[in-house]
Order: sequence, then C-alpha cells, then structure tokens
Amino acid sequence: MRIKYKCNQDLKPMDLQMLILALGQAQESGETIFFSDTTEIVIGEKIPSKLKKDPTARMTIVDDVIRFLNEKTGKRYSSKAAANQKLILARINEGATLEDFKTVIENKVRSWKGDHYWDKYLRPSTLFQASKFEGYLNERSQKTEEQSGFDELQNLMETKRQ
Amino acid sequence: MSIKHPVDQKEIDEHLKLQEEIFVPSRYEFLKAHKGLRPGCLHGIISTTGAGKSTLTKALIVEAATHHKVMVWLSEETVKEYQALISKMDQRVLANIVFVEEKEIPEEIKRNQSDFFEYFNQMVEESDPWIVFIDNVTTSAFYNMRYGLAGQNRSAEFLKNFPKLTGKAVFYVGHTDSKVHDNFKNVITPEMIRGSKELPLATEYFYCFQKFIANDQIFTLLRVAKHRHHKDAAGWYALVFEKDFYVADVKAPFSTVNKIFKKRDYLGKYQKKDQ
Repeated sequence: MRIKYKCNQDLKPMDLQMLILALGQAQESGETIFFSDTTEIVIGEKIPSKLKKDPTARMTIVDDVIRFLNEKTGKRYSSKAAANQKLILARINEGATLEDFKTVIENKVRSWKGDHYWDKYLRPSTLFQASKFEGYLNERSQKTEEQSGFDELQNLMETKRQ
Repeated sequence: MSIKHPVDQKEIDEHLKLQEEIFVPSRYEFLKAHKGLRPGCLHGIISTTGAGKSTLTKALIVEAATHHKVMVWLSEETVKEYQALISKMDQRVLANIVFVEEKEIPEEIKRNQSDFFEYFNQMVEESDPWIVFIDNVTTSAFYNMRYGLAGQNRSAEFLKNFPKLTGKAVFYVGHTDSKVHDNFKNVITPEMIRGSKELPLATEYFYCFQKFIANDQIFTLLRVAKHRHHKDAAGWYALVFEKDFYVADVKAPFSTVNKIFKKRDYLGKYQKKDQ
C-alpha cells in the first residue's frame, strides 16, 4: 500500500484520518512503514532484509551509485546531499539493487550523454525518481541492440585504423 | 525549350565514359562510390552545428586542391580561421585555393539578390576554379532571411543552374533545422536542411552527416542520400577521426545501422536502396 502526501502542505482532515487508519492497520498487522522520500509514506512493502538491518550497507550503495553516476557523466554529484540520499534510499527500500542503479545510469547515459537538451537530465532527481526509475531500468533489452550496433561500427572503424 | 531527337551512340558512349572518369581521387569510400566530386554538378552536405561537417569539407578541399583550382566561399569565418586546419593537412595545396569572405562584401550588394548572384559569378569568373565550396550556405547571403523563403528558393535555382551553365562543381555545407540534434533518433534526411527545402531537391549528390555519442566515444555516420546513376553509391559510411581530421571511412552494413535506429520502423524505407 502506498500513501502519498505533500510535506509542505497541511493534510486535509479526511486524508489525515485515512493516514492514521492505514498506519494503525499496518501496525496491527505487522506491516512495514517507512518514508520512501520526502513526499511518500510506504506501507506494507518489503525492504530487502539485509539492507534493512544494515544502514551502513545502504549508505555504501548510495556512495557507489553516486560515484558510478559521476564517472559515467563526468559530473560532480555528492552522496552526502540529503536529496540524493533520500531518492536512492527510497529506491533501495523498494527493492532496487546496486546493479539496477548502474543499469539505469548506463541506459540513460547511452541515450542522453552529449545531447544538448537531455544531458542536463542525467541527474539523481530525474534518474532515480519513483515514477521513472522502473521505466529506465527496463530499457535494457532495447538498448543492448543499439549498443551492439555501435560495437559493430566500432569494429569496422578499427579495421580502417589498422 | 525545343523538341529534341535521340542522340547518336557515340555521344552516349562519351557520356558513359565521362561518368566513369575520376576527376578528384579521394581517400573516402563514400566519394569513391560515385567516382568522386563531379564537374557540372551540385553537391551538398548537412548536419547539426558542430558535428564535424566543416572538418570533413576541409579535407575535401585539400583533395580537390591537390588536382584543381578551388574557390572557398566563406559565410561567417575568416580566411585565417578557416585556413588553419587546411594548412595543417597539407600546406602545399594552398597555392591552388582562393577564398571569398562574405563579410567583406558590401551590404548594398548583399541587399539585392540579383547583385549578389552577379557578384558570385564575377568572383568565380576572376578565379576560374574547378570547384566552389560554400561553407556555409544556410548562414550565407544565399539563404539570407531578408530575401524570405521565395528568395531562398531563387538561390536554390541559381545554385542548381550554376554548375550546368559553367561546368564547375559546387559543394555546399548546410545546417539542419533546429529540431535536429546530436544523438538524433531519426535518420537525418535532405529536407531537414534549415530554411528552404528547394536546395536539396536541386542537388545531385547529397550527404547527411549524423553524430552519435555512445560507448564513451563519438560516432559519425554519413549517408549518401542522393547520387546520380552510380551503382551501389547509396548507403551509410562511418567516418574514422584521428587527431584533427577524418582519415578514412568505412561502409556500414544496413544490418548494423538498423540496430542503431531500431527504435523506429522509419529506416525501413531506406533498406531497399541502401543495400
């Protein structure tokens, strides 16, 4: 179950009532309750147990993800920035692994890097956004074919260089 | 216009022989495919800004100037700016090149299209080149917006007729319109030229230049989009860049290019003629 609320607005009494009810029910039934990011409360979705128990491992993934993103894009995002941490942790809480993050980054770097319009969107707030992450992750198979096209091209060009 | 009768076989044989003649030997496969730059013909290339078409054009200028006199018509750059790379490639050819900087042409000439065409004719007459390179036609007075679209169409007509009337080759460089960008997912087509689409229609040899960034490197694909009666000349070529310029190119099989454009069925219509 997923309940969204806006942190910078007061909840309407009805929404608040719903939220309290849902939280109560979740607590009674032993479901997990956690903040997915600044705008979401997630109830009843499983946090990967290893990561749940190990906050250090979670932060290591945040570091690795940001490092990988910086390497691939040539940008300088910080793993210490709260906004970046929240987004990545939120996706981890939903079950995303380091490999998933890397796939998303690679997929979008392939499409957007160097593009005068899209390059600026190679940033944590776009790549790891709840509504986009899964779509970017599943671009994998399509991109692999494009990738192999460029690999073939590269091989052809190498024959001319020799 | 008058009614014409069939010509005799001798004339046809001469025409076919001329088609096979190579006037400018080239290192590039995409040019070899149609026996190099052709006299009396209009050639054009388009791509996005900064994709490297001017770099390629400079290499073609060097190749042409190795064998013939060349005139380079500059719309924006100065001779010094433009010559730098040419000098680096081969300083010996400079003796065979003359330049015209459009910036230096008086405004009153550029204001009137007929005067501008006349000025162009005069410059060509004075220097008598084998080929005229126009870099860049879409930023030059030929495509000046003050003439409007009708004026640009008149320029297209002028540039179409000029090679026929003079027997000289013309090679122009053009920008694509603002909707086209690097890593463009569609195949760039001649009508994506900025401004009037009449010029590509009038062009006999047309090349579309497309840049991609993948695998952390730049790929430049050139498509021979239009050519005249040369078997197997159409197709895709990957350009090989080393240090400062394109040192070679290699024909890319359709199956490879198709993977790059897989997202769309759009490429399908090129399959038949490019294979």
